[in-house]
Amino acid sequence: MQSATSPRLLRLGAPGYIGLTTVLACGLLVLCWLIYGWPEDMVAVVLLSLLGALTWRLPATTSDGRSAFSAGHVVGLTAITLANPLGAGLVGAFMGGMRRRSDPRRRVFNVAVLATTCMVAGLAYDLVGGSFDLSELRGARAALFSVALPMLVADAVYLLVNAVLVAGVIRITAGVPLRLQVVDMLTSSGIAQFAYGVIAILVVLMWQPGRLGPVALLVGLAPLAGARWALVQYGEERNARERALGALVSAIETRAPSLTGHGGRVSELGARMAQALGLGPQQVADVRTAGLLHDLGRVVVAPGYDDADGATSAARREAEMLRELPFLSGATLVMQEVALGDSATTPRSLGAEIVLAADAYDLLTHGETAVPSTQALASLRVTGRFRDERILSVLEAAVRDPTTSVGAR
Amino acid sequence: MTPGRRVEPLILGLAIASILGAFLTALGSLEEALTEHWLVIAAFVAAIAIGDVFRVQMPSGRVMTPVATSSAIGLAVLGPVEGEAPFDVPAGVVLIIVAAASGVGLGLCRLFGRPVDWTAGAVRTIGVGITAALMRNLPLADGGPWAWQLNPDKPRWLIAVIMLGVAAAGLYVDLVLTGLVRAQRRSMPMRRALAEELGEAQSLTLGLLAAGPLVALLAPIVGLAGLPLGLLPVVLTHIAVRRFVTNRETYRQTIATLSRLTEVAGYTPTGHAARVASLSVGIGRAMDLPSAEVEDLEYAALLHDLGQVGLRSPIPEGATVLAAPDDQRRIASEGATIVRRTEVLDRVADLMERQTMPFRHVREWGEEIPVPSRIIKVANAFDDFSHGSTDPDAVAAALERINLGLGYEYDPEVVDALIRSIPAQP
Repeated sequence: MQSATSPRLLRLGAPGYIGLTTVLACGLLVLCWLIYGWPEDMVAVVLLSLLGALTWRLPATTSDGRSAFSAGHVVGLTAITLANPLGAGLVGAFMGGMRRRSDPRRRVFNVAVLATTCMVAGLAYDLVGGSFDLSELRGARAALFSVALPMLVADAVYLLVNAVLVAGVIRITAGVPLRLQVVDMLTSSGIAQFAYGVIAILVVLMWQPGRLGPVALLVGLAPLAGARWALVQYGEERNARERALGALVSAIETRAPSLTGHGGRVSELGARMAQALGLGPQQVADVRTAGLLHDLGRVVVAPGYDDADGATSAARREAEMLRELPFLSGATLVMQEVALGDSATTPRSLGAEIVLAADAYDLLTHGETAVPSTQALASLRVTGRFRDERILSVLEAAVRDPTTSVGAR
Repeated sequence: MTPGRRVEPLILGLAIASILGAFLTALGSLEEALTEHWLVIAAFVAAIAIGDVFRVQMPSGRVMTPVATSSAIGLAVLGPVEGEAPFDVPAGVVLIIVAAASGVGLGLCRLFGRPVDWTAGAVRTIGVGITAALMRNLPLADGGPWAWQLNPDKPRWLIAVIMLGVAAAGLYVDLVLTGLVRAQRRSMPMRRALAEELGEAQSLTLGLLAAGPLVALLAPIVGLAGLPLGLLPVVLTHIAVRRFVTNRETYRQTIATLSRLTEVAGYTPTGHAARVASLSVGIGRAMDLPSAEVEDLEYAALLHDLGQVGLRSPIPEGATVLAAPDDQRRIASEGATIVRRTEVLDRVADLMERQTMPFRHVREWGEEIPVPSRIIKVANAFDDFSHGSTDPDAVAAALERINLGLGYEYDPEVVDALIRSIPAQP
């Protein structure tokens, strides 16, 4: 299950993938034009394009990826009903083109992905009986079957297509397995995005049968300003929290300057190994944090304060230091197993094995007595420390991966 | 200027007078409304009452009930409802319904053992009453904006914009009154309380004022289903705000974890950082520092001994006040360096770095030492001297030792605030 990206795939894969996505988007544009023709309400197309571009140019709402809000998603879904799937594709393309990216390849990719996503969602909306003319719509039942349910289907399709297309490029450029990335996107930010997509139903109802026209955007999207504010705060706080954890690493490095950079490298290498072994997003995050802080209990201790049994004492200290941080409970367990090392009486978890292997490799390849990567890998094989044979295989693949900065020296 | 003790009674009195006035002027209409619009009224009362139960407390302490507030505003501007008769009732009837629904909500809060704030209910009633009155009585042609809702020739977009305007008027009255109450309760200057009330979440306010009109604009299309549909964005906002508040608490716990590092590692006595932080916050509040500054003060106080992890040998009992001045500075500087690497706590690091500077530097050389740093110095010395004991003799002895350095080592104003805040400590 190795996911390391070969240099050739990295060199040719990304442009090729972007090209394929662009061809797909162009094909869908032609298909939608043949089925639906040009959108009748070009004012809606222009307004939604401008609004969508504006929302994409706003700073990201969160930095953690667990929850996110993009009004662009709502705008894309709104365009399906008010314009038609072709109009939605045009709105998506415009939004993609106006994103804050200077790299032309990324801009082309964004245009293709958002146009494709909007058009496929539009086709799904039509397939399940969604109506494109709501001017005479009245009553909750009609709204449910003509707009609400089809829009929910379009919402789900939008998120799925977007996740698959984005996960594809991440697979090629960063080696993250496709399935893992898609599941991560859909189960984290996807849930919130799906819920916010429902706003499109409200905007459409007010725009057409409510005869508010473009003011529907103001009334429909304004309540989201609060949600956006809260999510921005949430993202900043979460980012600050993650950075505050960096102070723990600084404390380790202050106490043991020879370990400067060690935690960061073990964290990155461990996370790549965990991804390659197909662990879930939370387990990968636990391995990443455990890799970063695995020396905490062993190193940060006052001289003379350590017990005779150093390993047990370190594991106890780690548990005590981090006990009030529920979001680190998984990582703390892994860290304790790592602190106990080979003195553990029970079998180690896969996460702990990964961190131990990454730790051992990094200690061998860095510092004054550093050895080359191949020699380090060979000596790890000889020790026979790791009961799971996949560990050393994924370690070898991860350090040879050209997309990682912890690769072979 | 802090408001007098009469703000809350005045607001409650104003709300009661408004309700009595509404009863006197609209009693007949109320009976008619209860008969003709019972379903609509029941739905909005339920939404307001449930919204009152599911409240959210902001980090500043401000309590928000976005669902209840939006539902109440929605009722104030409601006109035609698909499948029902138009909600043609006087503003007084709206005010009575909102007051009753708030009463039910607060009753439910009491039932579930949650804090009950009658003043908040009164403030909402006044704000929504203003929105309802403006919607019905704005001096515009053809009966004003409420009547326009029944006239298909009137532009819908204009009605929507006016709805947003009258919702904003009521909501801002609500915010100002809430700010005044907060200023009274916390003995804060009125201007600061109002600035914090209006500034904390402008975007949330924008979201709230649009949600009510959203309900009223959906009602002519989908009937009463417009209520849950229109409230959906506010519910999502509510969830987002709760996550933010929970995360803020987790962030605080993360800082507290950092502060425990030196204790678990054996450098400082257990509970020292938490006690110094608690004492510092008490002093900061007694000195009327702004909320944001008190928060930085708390974090800096929690982390003030972090630099001890770099020591080759621990200071006896971790008492930095007994360490040589050079060692104190080195510890403070080391701690600040560690914290600065996080890149998000720079202000906190600055406070930590200057916590050891003697007050005479200010007096003699005009050097600038931030007040929070002076507070940490005093709080740390107090805890080191008293060993965290609340025994009156230990407290008196600690204060005596601090008094020996008054004006030289310690800022007299901070020491005064310490003495004022000690009885409040557990």
